[in-house]
Amino acid sequence: MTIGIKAIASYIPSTYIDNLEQGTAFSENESFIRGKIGALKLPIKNPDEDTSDLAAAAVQALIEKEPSFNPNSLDVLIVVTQNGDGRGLPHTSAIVQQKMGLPKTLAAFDVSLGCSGYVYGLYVLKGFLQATGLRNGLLVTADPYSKIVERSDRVTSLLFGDAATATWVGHDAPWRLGEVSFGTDGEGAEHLCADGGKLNMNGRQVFNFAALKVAPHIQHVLSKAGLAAEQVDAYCIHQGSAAIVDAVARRFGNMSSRFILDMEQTGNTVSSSIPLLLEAHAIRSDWKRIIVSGFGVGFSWATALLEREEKC
Amino acid sequence: MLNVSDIKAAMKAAGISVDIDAIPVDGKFREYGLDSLDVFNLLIELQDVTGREIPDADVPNLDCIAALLAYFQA
Repeated sequence: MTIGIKAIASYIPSTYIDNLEQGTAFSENESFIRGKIGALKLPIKNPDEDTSDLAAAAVQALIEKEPSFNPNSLDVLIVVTQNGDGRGLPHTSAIVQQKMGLPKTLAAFDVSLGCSGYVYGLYVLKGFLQATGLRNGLLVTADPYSKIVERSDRVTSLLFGDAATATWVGHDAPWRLGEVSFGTDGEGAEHLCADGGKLNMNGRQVFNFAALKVAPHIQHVLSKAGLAAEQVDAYCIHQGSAAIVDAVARRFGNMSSRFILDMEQTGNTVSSSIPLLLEAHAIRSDWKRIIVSGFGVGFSWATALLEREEKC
Repeated sequence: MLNVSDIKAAMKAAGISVDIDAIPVDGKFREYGLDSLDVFNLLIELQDVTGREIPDADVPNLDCIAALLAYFQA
Protein backbone atom coordinates (compact mmCIF):
# COMPACT_ATOMS: atom_id res chain seq x y z
CA MET A 1 0.00 0.00 0.00
CA THR A 2 1.37 3.38 -0.99
CA ILE A 3 1.20 6.04 1.68
CA GLY A 4 1.48 9.54 0.37
CA ILE A 5 -0.15 12.87 -0.33
CA LYS A 6 -3.78 12.72 -1.45
CA ALA A 7 -4.80 16.39 -1.40
CA ILE A 8 -3.74 19.80 -0.08
CA ALA A 9 -5.74 22.91 0.81
CA SER A 10 -4.84 26.15 2.48
CA TYR A 11 -6.06 29.22 4.29
CA ILE A 12 -4.45 32.60 3.81
CA PRO A 13 -5.78 35.52 5.86
CA SER A 14 -7.23 38.32 3.75
CA THR A 15 -5.68 41.05 5.88
CA TYR A 16 -2.16 41.88 4.80
CA ILE A 17 0.75 44.25 5.12
CA ASP A 18 1.83 46.04 1.93
CA ASN A 19 5.50 45.10 1.86
CA LEU A 20 6.50 47.83 -0.58
CA GLU A 21 5.12 50.42 1.83
CA GLN A 22 6.80 48.67 4.72
CA GLY A 23 10.06 48.54 2.76
CA THR A 24 9.90 52.28 2.20
CA ALA A 25 9.55 52.78 5.94
CA PHE A 26 12.75 50.76 6.38
CA SER A 27 14.52 52.70 3.57
CA GLU A 28 14.53 49.66 1.28
CA ASN A 29 13.76 50.19 -2.41
CA GLU A 30 11.28 48.27 -4.55
CA SER A 31 14.04 46.34 -6.30
CA PHE A 32 15.21 44.91 -2.97
CA ILE A 33 11.70 44.00 -1.84
CA ARG A 34 10.81 42.35 -5.16
CA GLY A 35 14.15 40.79 -6.01
CA LYS A 36 15.65 39.81 -2.69
CA ILE A 37 12.79 39.53 -0.20
CA GLY A 38 10.34 38.31 -2.85
CA ALA A 39 7.13 39.28 -1.03
CA LEU A 40 4.87 42.16 -2.01
CA LYS A 41 2.16 41.18 0.49
CA LEU A 42 2.44 39.66 3.95
CA PRO A 43 -0.87 38.12 5.09
CA ILE A 44 -1.53 38.77 8.76
CA LYS A 45 -4.12 37.03 10.88
CA ASN A 46 -6.74 39.09 12.65
CA PRO A 47 -6.01 39.81 16.30
CA ASP A 48 -8.97 37.68 17.38
CA GLU A 49 -7.79 34.67 15.35
CA ASP A 50 -5.52 32.17 17.03
CA THR A 51 -3.33 29.46 15.54
CA SER A 52 -6.08 26.85 15.87
CA ASP A 53 -8.44 29.12 13.91
CA LEU A 54 -6.00 29.25 10.99
CA ALA A 55 -5.54 25.49 11.22
CA ALA A 56 -9.30 24.87 11.35
CA ALA A 57 -9.82 27.16 8.34
CA ALA A 58 -7.29 25.12 6.36
CA VAL A 59 -9.07 21.89 7.33
CA GLN A 60 -12.40 23.44 6.30
CA ALA A 61 -10.84 24.44 2.96
CA LEU A 62 -9.80 20.82 2.41
CA ILE A 63 -13.32 19.59 3.22
CA GLU A 64 -14.78 22.01 0.67
CA LYS A 65 -12.14 21.35 -2.00
CA GLU A 66 -11.89 17.58 -1.82
CA PRO A 67 -15.25 15.75 -1.85
CA SER A 68 -13.60 12.37 -1.20
CA PHE A 69 -12.06 13.64 2.04
CA ASN A 70 -14.29 12.65 4.93
CA PRO A 71 -13.26 14.31 8.20
CA ASN A 72 -15.29 11.75 10.16
CA SER A 73 -12.94 9.02 8.98
CA LEU A 74 -9.79 10.77 10.14
CA ASP A 75 -7.50 8.68 12.35
CA VAL A 76 -4.56 11.02 12.98
CA LEU A 77 -4.08 14.80 13.14
CA ILE A 78 -0.67 16.42 13.36
CA VAL A 79 -0.29 20.19 13.70
CA VAL A 80 3.15 21.58 12.92
CA THR A 81 3.62 24.78 14.91
CA GLN A 82 5.92 26.58 17.31
CA ASN A 83 3.37 29.30 17.94
CA GLY A 84 0.40 27.33 19.11
CA ASP A 85 -2.65 28.67 20.92
CA GLY A 86 -1.87 30.39 24.19
CA ARG A 87 1.48 29.16 25.42
CA GLY A 88 1.26 25.82 23.64
CA LEU A 89 -0.47 23.97 26.46
CA PRO A 90 -2.75 22.26 25.60
CA HIS A 91 -1.52 21.19 22.19
CA THR A 92 -3.14 23.04 19.32
CA SER A 93 -4.15 19.82 17.55
CA ALA A 94 -6.53 19.03 20.44
CA ILE A 95 -8.16 22.44 20.02
CA VAL A 96 -8.49 21.88 16.27
CA GLN A 97 -10.13 18.49 16.95
CA GLN A 98 -12.75 20.23 19.06
CA LYS A 99 -13.28 23.21 16.77
CA MET A 100 -13.75 21.02 13.69
CA GLY A 101 -15.80 18.35 15.47
CA LEU A 102 -13.32 15.68 14.43
CA PRO A 103 -13.78 12.15 15.82
CA LYS A 104 -12.81 11.62 19.48
CA THR A 105 -11.05 8.44 18.39
CA LEU A 106 -8.49 10.73 16.71
CA ALA A 107 -4.79 10.55 17.58
CA ALA A 108 -3.78 14.21 17.72
CA PHE A 109 -0.44 15.77 18.53
CA ASP A 110 1.72 18.76 17.66
CA VAL A 111 5.17 18.70 16.10
CA SER A 112 7.47 21.53 17.21
CA LEU A 113 9.48 22.47 14.16
CA GLY A 114 9.73 25.58 12.00
CA CYS A 115 10.52 25.72 8.30
CA SER A 116 11.63 22.07 8.09
CA GLY A 117 8.39 20.97 9.75
CA TYR A 118 6.34 20.04 6.70
CA VAL A 119 8.84 17.49 5.40
CA TYR A 120 9.38 16.08 8.89
CA GLY A 121 5.63 16.00 9.45
CA LEU A 122 4.97 14.01 6.27
CA TYR A 123 7.29 11.25 7.41
CA VAL A 124 6.17 11.31 11.04
CA LEU A 125 2.65 10.81 9.76
CA LYS A 126 3.67 8.11 7.27
CA GLY A 127 5.49 6.24 10.04
CA PHE A 128 2.54 6.60 12.42
CA LEU A 129 0.14 5.18 9.82
CA GLN A 130 2.50 2.31 9.04
CA ALA A 131 3.08 1.49 12.71
CA THR A 132 -0.57 1.55 13.71
CA GLY A 133 -2.32 0.29 10.61
CA LEU A 134 -4.47 3.43 10.60
CA ARG A 135 -5.44 4.82 7.22
CA ASN A 136 -6.30 8.52 7.22
CA GLY A 137 -3.96 11.20 8.42
CA LEU A 138 -4.05 14.97 8.27
CA LEU A 139 -0.94 17.13 8.43
CA VAL A 140 -1.70 20.74 9.28
CA THR A 141 0.84 23.56 9.24
CA ALA A 142 -0.02 26.75 11.11
CA ASP A 143 2.75 28.89 12.52
CA PRO A 144 1.70 32.55 12.53
CA TYR A 145 4.90 34.49 13.05
CA SER A 146 2.88 37.69 13.37
CA LYS A 147 2.57 36.62 17.00
CA ILE A 148 6.31 37.05 17.55
CA VAL A 149 7.55 39.49 14.90
CA GLU A 150 8.22 42.96 16.26
CA ARG A 151 7.07 45.28 13.51
CA SER A 152 9.92 47.70 14.17
CA ASP A 153 12.50 44.95 13.49
CA ARG A 154 13.68 45.40 9.89
CA VAL A 155 15.35 41.97 9.75
CA THR A 156 12.19 39.94 10.36
CA SER A 157 9.35 42.34 9.66
CA LEU A 158 9.78 42.25 5.86
CA LEU A 159 9.86 38.46 5.60
CA PHE A 160 7.10 36.58 7.34
CA GLY A 161 3.44 36.09 6.45
CA ASP A 162 0.71 34.04 8.13
CA ALA A 163 -0.90 31.03 6.47
CA ALA A 164 -2.08 27.53 7.25
CA THR A 165 -2.31 24.37 5.15
CA ALA A 166 -3.92 20.95 5.45
CA THR A 167 -2.46 17.90 3.70
CA TRP A 168 -4.43 14.68 3.53
CA VAL A 169 -2.04 11.75 3.85
CA GLY A 170 -3.14 8.17 3.40
CA HIS A 171 -3.11 4.98 1.38
CA ASP A 172 -3.50 4.74 -2.40
CA ALA A 173 -2.22 8.28 -2.77
CA PRO A 174 -1.16 9.81 -6.09
CA TRP A 175 2.06 11.23 -4.61
CA ARG A 176 4.30 8.68 -2.89
CA LEU A 177 6.74 9.74 -0.17
CA GLY A 178 10.14 8.58 -1.45
CA GLU A 179 13.76 8.91 -0.35
CA VAL A 180 14.30 11.36 2.49
CA SER A 181 17.10 12.75 4.61
CA PHE A 182 17.17 14.90 7.73
CA GLY A 183 19.65 17.10 9.57
CA THR A 184 20.06 19.12 12.74
CA ASP A 185 22.75 21.53 13.94
CA GLY A 186 21.92 23.05 17.31
CA GLU A 187 24.90 25.41 17.02
CA GLY A 188 22.57 27.47 14.86
CA ALA A 189 19.87 27.68 17.51
CA GLU A 190 20.85 31.16 18.66
CA HIS A 191 20.59 32.58 15.14
CA LEU A 192 16.82 32.17 14.87
CA CYS A 193 14.94 32.10 18.14
CA ALA A 194 12.19 33.74 20.16
CA ASP A 195 13.66 35.73 23.03
CA GLY A 196 11.04 36.87 25.49
CA GLY A 197 8.33 36.12 22.97
CA LYS A 198 9.94 38.21 20.20
CA LEU A 199 11.57 36.73 17.13
CA ASN A 200 15.29 37.35 16.86
CA MET A 201 17.18 36.50 13.67
CA ASN A 202 20.80 36.78 12.59
CA GLY A 203 20.07 37.29 8.90
CA ARG A 204 23.57 36.55 7.66
CA GLN A 205 23.96 33.30 9.58
CA VAL A 206 20.54 32.06 8.52
CA PHE A 207 21.30 33.00 4.91
CA ASN A 208 24.71 31.28 5.04
CA PHE A 209 23.17 28.15 6.52
CA ALA A 210 20.56 27.93 3.77
CA ALA A 211 22.91 28.86 0.94
CA LEU A 212 25.56 26.34 1.96
CA LYS A 213 23.63 23.45 3.47
CA VAL A 214 20.57 22.94 1.30
CA ALA A 215 22.05 22.31 -2.16
CA PRO A 216 24.41 19.52 -0.99
CA HIS A 217 21.54 18.01 0.98
CA ILE A 218 19.34 17.93 -2.10
CA GLN A 219 22.22 16.32 -4.02
CA HIS A 220 22.49 13.74 -1.23
CA VAL A 221 18.82 12.77 -1.58
CA LEU A 222 19.15 12.63 -5.38
CA SER A 223 22.13 10.34 -4.96
CA LYS A 224 20.21 8.09 -2.55
CA ALA A 225 17.42 7.87 -5.11
CA GLY A 226 19.84 7.20 -7.97
CA LEU A 227 18.65 10.28 -9.83
CA ALA A 228 20.38 13.12 -11.66
CA ALA A 229 19.15 16.66 -11.06
CA GLU A 230 17.55 16.81 -14.51
CA GLN A 231 15.38 13.77 -13.74
CA VAL A 232 13.41 15.85 -11.24
CA ASP A 233 10.64 17.98 -12.70
CA ALA A 234 10.52 20.63 -10.00
CA TYR A 235 12.21 21.71 -6.82
CA CYS A 236 9.79 23.04 -4.21
CA ILE A 237 12.03 24.34 -1.49
CA HIS A 238 11.11 26.45 1.52
CA GLN A 239 10.43 30.02 0.45
CA GLY A 240 12.69 31.68 3.02
CA SER A 241 13.19 34.67 0.75
CA ALA A 242 13.74 35.16 -2.97
CA ALA A 243 17.46 35.56 -2.28
CA ILE A 244 17.61 32.22 -0.45
CA VAL A 245 15.76 30.35 -3.19
CA ASP A 246 18.06 31.98 -5.75
CA ALA A 247 21.22 31.14 -3.77
CA VAL A 248 20.23 27.46 -3.60
CA ALA A 249 19.00 27.29 -7.20
CA ARG A 250 22.18 28.90 -8.54
CA ARG A 251 24.13 25.87 -7.36
CA PHE A 252 22.18 23.70 -9.80
CA GLY A 253 23.38 25.48 -12.94
CA ASN A 254 20.99 24.99 -15.85
CA MET A 255 18.49 23.22 -13.59
CA SER A 256 18.00 26.42 -11.58
CA SER A 257 14.86 27.30 -13.56
CA ARG A 258 13.14 24.25 -12.05
CA PHE A 259 13.26 25.83 -8.60
CA ILE A 260 9.82 27.27 -7.96
CA LEU A 261 9.66 30.78 -6.53
CA ASP A 262 6.17 31.83 -5.53
CA MET A 263 5.97 33.97 -2.43
CA GLU A 264 4.94 37.39 -3.73
CA GLN A 265 1.49 37.16 -2.16
CA THR A 266 2.45 35.32 1.03
CA GLY A 267 6.02 35.99 2.16
CA ASN A 268 7.80 33.35 4.20
CA THR A 269 5.02 31.30 5.78
CA VAL A 270 7.39 28.97 7.71
CA SER A 271 6.19 25.34 7.55
CA SER A 272 3.33 26.30 5.23
CA SER A 273 5.53 27.46 2.36
CA ILE A 274 6.16 24.02 0.80
CA PRO A 275 2.54 22.79 0.90
CA LEU A 276 1.44 26.13 -0.57
CA LEU A 277 3.81 25.51 -3.48
CA LEU A 278 2.63 21.94 -3.90
CA GLU A 279 -1.01 23.00 -3.84
CA ALA A 280 -0.50 25.75 -6.41
CA HIS A 281 1.97 24.08 -8.77
CA ALA A 282 2.34 20.35 -8.24
CA ILE A 283 -0.77 18.45 -7.28
CA ARG A 284 -2.54 18.90 -10.60
CA SER A 285 0.60 19.08 -12.74
CA ASP A 286 1.95 16.36 -15.00
CA TRP A 287 5.19 16.29 -13.04
CA LYS A 288 6.44 12.87 -12.02
CA ARG A 289 9.13 13.74 -9.48
CA ILE A 290 9.44 16.66 -7.08
CA ILE A 291 12.08 17.48 -4.51
CA VAL A 292 10.83 19.20 -1.38
CA SER A 293 13.29 20.73 1.06
CA GLY A 294 12.57 22.58 4.28
CA PHE A 295 15.20 24.32 6.40
CA GLY A 296 15.35 26.85 9.19
CA VAL A 297 14.91 27.15 12.96
CA GLY A 298 17.26 24.86 14.88
CA PHE A 299 19.04 24.73 12.54
CA SER A 300 16.94 21.91 11.15
CA TRP A 301 16.58 20.66 7.61
CA ALA A 302 14.83 17.90 5.69
CA THR A 303 14.72 16.97 2.01
CA ALA A 304 12.50 14.40 0.34
CA LEU A 305 11.61 13.04 -3.06
CA LEU A 306 7.92 12.91 -3.96
CA GLU A 307 7.04 10.58 -6.82
CA ARG A 308 3.80 10.31 -8.71
CA GLU A 309 2.34 6.86 -8.35
CA GLU A 310 1.81 5.32 -11.77
CA LYS A 311 -1.58 3.67 -12.22
CA CYS A 312 -1.41 0.16 -13.69
CA MET B 1 46.44 35.94 -2.12
CA LEU B 2 43.32 37.52 -3.60
CA ASN B 3 43.47 40.17 -6.30
CA VAL B 4 40.82 42.43 -7.84
CA SER B 5 40.04 39.90 -10.57
CA ASP B 6 39.41 37.20 -7.97
CA ILE B 7 36.94 39.42 -6.14
CA LYS B 8 35.11 40.39 -9.33
CA ALA B 9 34.97 36.71 -10.32
CA ALA B 10 33.46 35.97 -6.91
CA MET B 11 30.89 38.73 -7.48
CA LYS B 12 29.85 37.09 -10.73
CA ALA B 13 29.68 33.66 -9.09
CA ALA B 14 27.54 35.22 -6.36
CA GLY B 15 24.97 36.24 -8.98
CA ILE B 16 25.42 39.96 -8.36
CA SER B 17 23.56 41.67 -11.17
CA VAL B 18 25.03 45.20 -11.11
CA ASP B 19 27.75 46.30 -13.57
CA ILE B 20 30.69 44.80 -11.71
CA ASP B 21 33.34 46.30 -13.98
CA ALA B 22 32.06 49.79 -13.15
CA ILE B 23 32.87 49.41 -9.44
CA PRO B 24 36.18 51.11 -8.58
CA VAL B 25 38.44 49.46 -6.04
CA ASP B 26 37.53 52.00 -3.38
CA GLY B 27 33.86 52.39 -4.42
CA LYS B 28 31.43 51.58 -1.64
CA PHE B 29 29.34 48.57 -2.59
CA ARG B 30 26.07 50.18 -1.51
CA GLU B 31 26.73 53.21 -3.74
CA TYR B 32 27.10 50.85 -6.71
CA GLY B 33 23.82 49.06 -6.09
CA LEU B 34 24.86 46.11 -3.96
CA ASP B 35 22.54 45.38 -1.05
CA SER B 36 23.19 43.43 2.14
CA LEU B 37 22.21 40.12 0.56
CA ASP B 38 24.58 40.70 -2.37
CA VAL B 39 27.36 41.17 0.15
CA PHE B 40 26.32 38.00 2.04
CA ASN B 41 26.50 36.07 -1.24
CA LEU B 42 29.87 37.60 -2.11
CA LEU B 43 31.32 36.71 1.30
CA ILE B 44 30.13 33.11 0.92
CA GLU B 45 32.01 32.88 -2.38
CA LEU B 46 35.14 34.44 -0.88
CA GLN B 47 34.99 32.12 2.13
CA ASP B 48 34.78 29.24 -0.33
CA VAL B 49 37.77 30.49 -2.34
CA THR B 50 39.99 31.31 0.63
CA GLY B 51 38.80 28.77 3.20
CA ARG B 52 38.70 31.61 5.70
CA GLU B 53 35.59 32.14 7.80
CA ILE B 54 34.46 35.75 8.16
CA PRO B 55 32.97 36.58 11.58
CA ASP B 56 29.80 38.70 11.66
CA ALA B 57 31.66 41.47 13.47
CA ASP B 58 34.00 41.98 10.50
CA VAL B 59 31.26 42.27 7.88
CA PRO B 60 30.34 45.98 8.29
CA ASN B 61 33.92 46.96 7.44
CA LEU B 62 34.03 44.90 4.24
CA ASP B 63 32.22 47.51 2.19
CA CYS B 64 34.44 47.83 -0.91
CA ILE B 65 36.93 45.83 -2.96
CA ALA B 66 39.90 47.56 -1.31
CA ALA B 67 38.64 46.57 2.14
CA LEU B 68 38.29 42.95 1.02
CA LEU B 69 41.80 42.94 -0.45
CA ALA B 70 43.24 44.31 2.78
CA TYR B 71 41.21 41.87 4.87
CA PHE B 72 42.34 38.78 3.02
CA GLN B 73 45.95 39.94 2.77
CA ALA B 74 46.16 40.47 6.53
